[in-house]
Amino acid sequence: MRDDDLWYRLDNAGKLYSSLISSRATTLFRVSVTLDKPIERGLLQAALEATLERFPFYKVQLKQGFFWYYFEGTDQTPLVEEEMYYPCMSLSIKRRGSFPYRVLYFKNRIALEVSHSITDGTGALKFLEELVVQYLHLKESVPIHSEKVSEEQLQKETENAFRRYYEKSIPAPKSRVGKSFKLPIQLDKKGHYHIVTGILNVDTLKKKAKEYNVSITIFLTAIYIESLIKIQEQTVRRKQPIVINVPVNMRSYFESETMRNFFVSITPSIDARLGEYEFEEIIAELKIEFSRLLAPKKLKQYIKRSVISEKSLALRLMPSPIKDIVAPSIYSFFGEGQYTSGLSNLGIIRMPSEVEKYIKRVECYPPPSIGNKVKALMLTYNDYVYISFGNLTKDRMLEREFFRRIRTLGIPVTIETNDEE
Amino acid sequence: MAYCPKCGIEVEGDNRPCPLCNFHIPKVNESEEAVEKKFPKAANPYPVHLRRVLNRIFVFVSLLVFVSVSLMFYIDYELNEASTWSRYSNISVMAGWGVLYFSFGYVQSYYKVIIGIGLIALALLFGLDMFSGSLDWFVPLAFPIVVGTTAIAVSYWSLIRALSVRGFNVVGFFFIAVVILSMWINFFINSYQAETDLINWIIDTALQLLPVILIMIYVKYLMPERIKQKISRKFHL
Repeated sequence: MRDDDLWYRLDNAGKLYSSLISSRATTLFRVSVTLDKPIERGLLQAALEATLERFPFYKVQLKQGFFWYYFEGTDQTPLVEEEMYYPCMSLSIKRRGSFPYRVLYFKNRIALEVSHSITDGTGALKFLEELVVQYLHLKESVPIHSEKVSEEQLQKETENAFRRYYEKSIPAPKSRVGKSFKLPIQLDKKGHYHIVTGILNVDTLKKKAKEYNVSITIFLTAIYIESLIKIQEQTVRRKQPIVINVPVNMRSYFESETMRNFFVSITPSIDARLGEYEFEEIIAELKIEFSRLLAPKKLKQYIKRSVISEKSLALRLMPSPIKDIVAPSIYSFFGEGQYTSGLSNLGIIRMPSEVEKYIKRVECYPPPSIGNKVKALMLTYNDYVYISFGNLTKDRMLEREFFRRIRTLGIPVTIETNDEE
Repeated sequence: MAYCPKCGIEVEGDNRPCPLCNFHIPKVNESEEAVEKKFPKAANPYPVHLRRVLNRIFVFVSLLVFVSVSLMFYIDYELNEASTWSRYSNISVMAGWGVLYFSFGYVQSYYKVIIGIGLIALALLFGLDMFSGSLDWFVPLAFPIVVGTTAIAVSYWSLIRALSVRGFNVVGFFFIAVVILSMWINFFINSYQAETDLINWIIDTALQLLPVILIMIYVKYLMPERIKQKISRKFHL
């Protein structure tokens, strides 16, 4: 098959994201690795080309069809660039000749910025891992097992897993309607995106979470909600529920090797109108909420909800330019508008043992979003948890509250930011 | 390694504001070696991109204006062997083009924008009046009204710039400016119709001004802080 004959449909999450793209909400998120030596451009470019041999379905560009966007294969090759913009900013993936991702380097760091329209965090990390292995193969002669990838494997990696596990008879979950608390902060200039990364020792954190008998995700979500409750008390008079959007990687519940989107969002919430919440109470509620929702049966309902929207005939028949116009308001009304903020955990990242010693750290930044001006994304690599806040405003109230709270729990935090004068 | 005394968090570089609370983290490292920068000095291509798009639109519109003006002139000349009706449409289109030039951000200073648009309005009105044969209403009506509007706009803008506290003052002075402007316009219309009764006119406008002044005094001194906050939140500029 020739490259430019290849095309494929977007999955349902990708379809939504592609219609939401704007100069602020670029839908780009970043995963990056920091190596022990400065990056060499030429080798990185060669590594990227080798990686695209392995994942040919990423050698695509976003095209606008009459009804839906789609990805079309291309003969062009993406070029690695030296980082010069704010993270996750200033790439319009809809422009002709632009790829739905870019590979950047700066000093010792290789960063992959991917649009959510093509894949989610897991897919991006898989791609990045291959890229780094290829790079280190060229740079440090790390051995690689290069075998021909079978057509069947490629099929598995490009499957629309939502559709695979979609069952028509399962009812969609009752969607909760209602307002939630929003951070009272103003957007910064277009093209600006502020990142604050907190680095925590995973063992200290685990020990602390163990004291409350919960996982790290629940523990940090509880701190997140507690910080938001505190901010709400300080800033607004009429209280509203705090709703957090927590994406769940469905690959841990349903067997799939897909390199496209496969996640659903659950929305644990604490209703601040009910009175003052102790930290223990928040944890107790979250524990119930997480164990109630994170079961395959319940998650299938969320899959149903994800797929149902793209199946509606009215939506399918709507020309895509019109979708572009209505999608942002629909999304802010039914999607992000209902959440206070988002906190996502990519989990523990394991790099192949032969490259591990060269990789100092792995980080991830959340995509900028107008509905939730501040969002957080975290992962664990080796001994550290890296929590990155992406912020479209100049105000650091949530970051400050969150990390100060972590400090008062006795967990040391190191802060890094891209805002150095 | 340095710590923010307020947040308790650790940062790599000292002698700079805390990234979370802006509290100045004191110098603790003895050695002078600079902390390695983790991010490039970020460029923001958005303004340049926006400018480019605006330029493109402006050039396109200019071409369109040029073509339509020439076309109208040509048709008019072919039909009447003189420039007759096309004078009116052409001067209007050109004036619209001039306003577009000022509204596309090519002139940075607001004073220049206000005066420029004022001059365009004068030229347009002068032309429209001239083309009908003689100057009928330009001198008694159009000229003073346009000059007055421009002068009031310029002084309003200087006043706003000089204010230390904006907020309600911006709205308040806007009302005052509108009142003065209406008085000004009213005066010239009345005198054009040759029925100026100066005292009557002053009483009229003063009566109109009175409730405005009362509302402003109420807002400034008597309105509860909470409602003020709410209004400033809803109407912030």
